Amino acid sequence: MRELSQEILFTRFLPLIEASIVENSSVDVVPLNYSATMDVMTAYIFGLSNGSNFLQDIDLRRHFLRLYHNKKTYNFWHAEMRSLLSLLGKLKPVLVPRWVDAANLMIESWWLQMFHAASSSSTTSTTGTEKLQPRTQPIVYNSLSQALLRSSSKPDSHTDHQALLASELLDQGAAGHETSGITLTYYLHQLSQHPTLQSALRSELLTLSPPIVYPTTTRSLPHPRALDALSLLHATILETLRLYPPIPGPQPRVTPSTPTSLANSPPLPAGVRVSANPYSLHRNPDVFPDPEEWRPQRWLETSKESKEEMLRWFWAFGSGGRMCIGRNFAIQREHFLFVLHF
Amino acid sequence: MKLLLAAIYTNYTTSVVDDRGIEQMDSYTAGPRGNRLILKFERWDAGK
Repeated sequence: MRELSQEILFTRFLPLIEASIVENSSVDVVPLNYSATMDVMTAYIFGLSNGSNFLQDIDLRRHFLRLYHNKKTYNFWHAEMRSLLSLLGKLKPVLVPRWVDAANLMIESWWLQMFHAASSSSTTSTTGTEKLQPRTQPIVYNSLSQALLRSSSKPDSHTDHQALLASELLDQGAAGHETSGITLTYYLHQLSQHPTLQSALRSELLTLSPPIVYPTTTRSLPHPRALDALSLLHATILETLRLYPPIPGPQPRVTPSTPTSLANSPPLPAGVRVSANPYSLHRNPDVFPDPEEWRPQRWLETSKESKEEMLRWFWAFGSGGRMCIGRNFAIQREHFLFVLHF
Repeated sequence: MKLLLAAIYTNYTTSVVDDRGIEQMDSYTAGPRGNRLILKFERWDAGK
């Protein structure tokens, strides 16, 4: 994990920023952030040498980010109107143009390439031929693969196993890169408008042992727990996730057959679709005064009780059994609790 | 994110060059509407 971070940070990411300074040019941080998060995510899943390199391979980066982005409007139909789409049959292109399916196939095929590379790296060879060792292990691939083998509902064939594994990993990958990329962008946007805060943050960052100074000959990084102890860094991230939750919309559920009440409502009949949105929860003015204001201090200059209440209403990662599995990874990029329920 | 942001703000300052379309779009994962954010990075030790 450390080698992964060093490679992506010191060999790929920071040199790009340095180059922009040398050239006296400005930077579009949106593709930069998506590239960083995608490279980290795929390296973690498939191993560093098998993962993407969007930070340095600009053409491939542009190609895939465009695919992901352009088809976003059409995701609505697949998510909310799946039966309508199947009803339409051959008329589906009326709602979802053919190139969207082609785009999905291209993304899947690129993903499968990395998947197969990781798969070959993982299998033990008994023939004595040179086994390719990816720099850093395909951590998530190995972990999920083993879990699938151990589970009671394991697939019947090796092909099914591989397909299920690839599919699950694609979900993790898609989930993992876009959300963190969005948060990084809004974080940078806010900090860019608050130069005094940048100074304060830098003072805090310089207390790290070692501080993450660049250029560097040692490429040394502080311990993840040290990063976690920085209160201003934490508060600025929380506040960014509050005001700009990367998945702000409704998380729907259907009420069960036993009458259920929600937030002190009268008992709701069965089969009713209900939802909560991080967008709305995060703008409760009783819990977050001046909710439209990006104010990291609200997390710092507060009583213990009011901070606990704010954290209760903080829902950027959801809650309960289906809460975001990658939240620690996203925030930290080091501690990744991977709990599998099959 | 913490590692990336810590690395950036230890070494650089950032300022906005062009943030048109920065509002979140109305979709499942909601990035900036304009899908761009242009910033200028500068080193801290550049005569500040």
